[in-house]
Amino acid sequence: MRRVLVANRGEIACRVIRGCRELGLATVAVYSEPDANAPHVRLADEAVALGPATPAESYLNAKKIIAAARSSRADAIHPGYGFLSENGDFAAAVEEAGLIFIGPCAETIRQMGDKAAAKTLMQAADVPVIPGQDGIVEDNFATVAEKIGFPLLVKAAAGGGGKGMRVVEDADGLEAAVEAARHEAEAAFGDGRLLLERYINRPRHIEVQILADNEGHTVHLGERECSVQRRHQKVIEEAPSPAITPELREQMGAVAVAAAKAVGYHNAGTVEFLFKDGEFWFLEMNTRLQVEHGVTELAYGVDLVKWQLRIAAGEPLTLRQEDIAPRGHAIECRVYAEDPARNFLPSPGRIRRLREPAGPGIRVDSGIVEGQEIGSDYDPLIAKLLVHDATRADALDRMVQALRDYVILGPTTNIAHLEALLRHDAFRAGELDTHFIETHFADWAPRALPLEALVTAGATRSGSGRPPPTTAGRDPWSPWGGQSGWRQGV
Amino acid sequence: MSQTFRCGDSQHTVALKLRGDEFSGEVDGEPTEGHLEQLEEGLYEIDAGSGAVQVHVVRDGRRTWVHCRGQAWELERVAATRSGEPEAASDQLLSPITGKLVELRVAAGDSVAKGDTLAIMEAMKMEHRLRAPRDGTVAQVIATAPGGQVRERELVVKLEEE
Repeated sequence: MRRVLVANRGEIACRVIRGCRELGLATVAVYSEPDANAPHVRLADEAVALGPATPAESYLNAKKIIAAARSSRADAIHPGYGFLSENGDFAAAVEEAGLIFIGPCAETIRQMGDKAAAKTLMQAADVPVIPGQDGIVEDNFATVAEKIGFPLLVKAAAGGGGKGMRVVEDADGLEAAVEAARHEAEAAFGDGRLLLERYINRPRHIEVQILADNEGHTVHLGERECSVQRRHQKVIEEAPSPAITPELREQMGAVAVAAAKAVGYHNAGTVEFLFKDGEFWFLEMNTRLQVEHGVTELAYGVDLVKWQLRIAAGEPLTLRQEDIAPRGHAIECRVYAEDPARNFLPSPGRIRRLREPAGPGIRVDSGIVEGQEIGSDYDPLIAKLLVHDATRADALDRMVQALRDYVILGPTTNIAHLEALLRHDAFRAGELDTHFIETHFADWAPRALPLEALVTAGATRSGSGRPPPTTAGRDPWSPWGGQSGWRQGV
Repeated sequence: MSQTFRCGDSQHTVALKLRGDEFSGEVDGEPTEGHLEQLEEGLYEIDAGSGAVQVHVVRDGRRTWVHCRGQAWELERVAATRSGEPEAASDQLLSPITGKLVELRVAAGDSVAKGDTLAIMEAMKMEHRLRAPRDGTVAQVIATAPGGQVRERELVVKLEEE
């Protein structure tokens, strides 16, 4: 393996390219028309144009991506997350083209992609699953529902992102919920098959990172707490979870390793669980690198991307389970180009000014640069801010300060909303569940505009945005003109 | 000279005099004065009486973006309106986002009922529906054809005045 094509864009493409570079691997970026000057394109050794903005004609087009790998003489493809990363047919096509797919094999991706099949597989491997009917429910919904009890969840077998899901409180609501879920699932996935299971109200979302090499040596790297979500989209993640004791970590880790082994998993993967009152249930397995992989990297001192590359190249995993333990606490905040004051409407636009926070224990995984146009064609996630510190309380303080120092002008972002989430008493106390934002932040509003902001806006109005009269004509770089109080050699 | 800025749903009036690095004047009718110094392009240090803070600022035409005390805001310079006057009549339906016009369901002359979907926009994988705020007749629609781009606050549908 010498040359890796990164079949993605934005921050994750940049992250993967950096990992490749550190291992001395050449990199090939791919891009759609609006991304021609995007940071991931500049960062790679070489870049291949895919076509128009529409994902189906660019980042989701398996044929074009494999052709790009051929023409650039790449011998491996890293799919990142999203797009084609969990598409078994794509992984198979990459392998058929004689290239290395950096991830598990196609069959594993397919098995885990079908929720009904995955649940049956996991049950056979003694992984706790949410109580419910085994397999697809085709008829007799009322009988099955009585057996499971209410409230229950009707869930699309092909589902994801909350689509094709309905909570049913009692028998009266069953028929309508089944119809609605089936209709939604058919529209979204072309597959209307349904599962019925017990509804776990206000659980935590806790997931376990695993790494497995091609020989089947498998370890877990503890858990990530990802309970703070909005519209089934994670917003803040941390490692370790404030709810997980070392004993639970060992227990959940062993279950995750068993789940991976049951499907002959290799490369990096994540086993997601719902967790409530010390009990946990298998939710799904993500057969790829997660958006939030960075918190595990910080808390465990490992580089997951480099391990993905090494494992794909056939190297053995040298980590031993008994040596793996978290150190300190890591938190990630996802920065979205969305306006929290207007019901999180997407907010595309040009990045007019960008100043990223920096300092001890601060990491920014970003896919944006100043001057870049954030288009409306792709996901609004533009960067991830991560911090690491000795304790959870320290890490929270560090994150609040880093958020306040993060300057993004142009698109409206959720940065101020993130700060409010982190400052909330319930968050600081670690009292989290998947309804945290709905419960505590139903009517959040940004702070009032400070006087200083208005005065500065008013003072910089004139003409072409030239500075106020006093500094006009002054050489801004002259060491003599400044009045900052700075003295050399004092 | 006095300027009016719109920020979200609120409006602010700023009238300033600058003398050297000192400023004085009124913000929203309250007298204010202090020190304002440019540190670099787009970055100022200001002390308006409650301690020195740094403000990042970018201006483009009527739009100004500021970052101050840990938060960013977008301001738009507008013509002053009498307070209490509604800012935009419900006759004008503006796009809430910059994105793609997916569907336009009405044409000039059509009658619409309150709640009808008049147009569908899409941005960043999310769909937004523009609905009629009241019963009425369509006076005018956007010239952009479906598939084309619309800007935030661009007029999409105008209803005839009641």
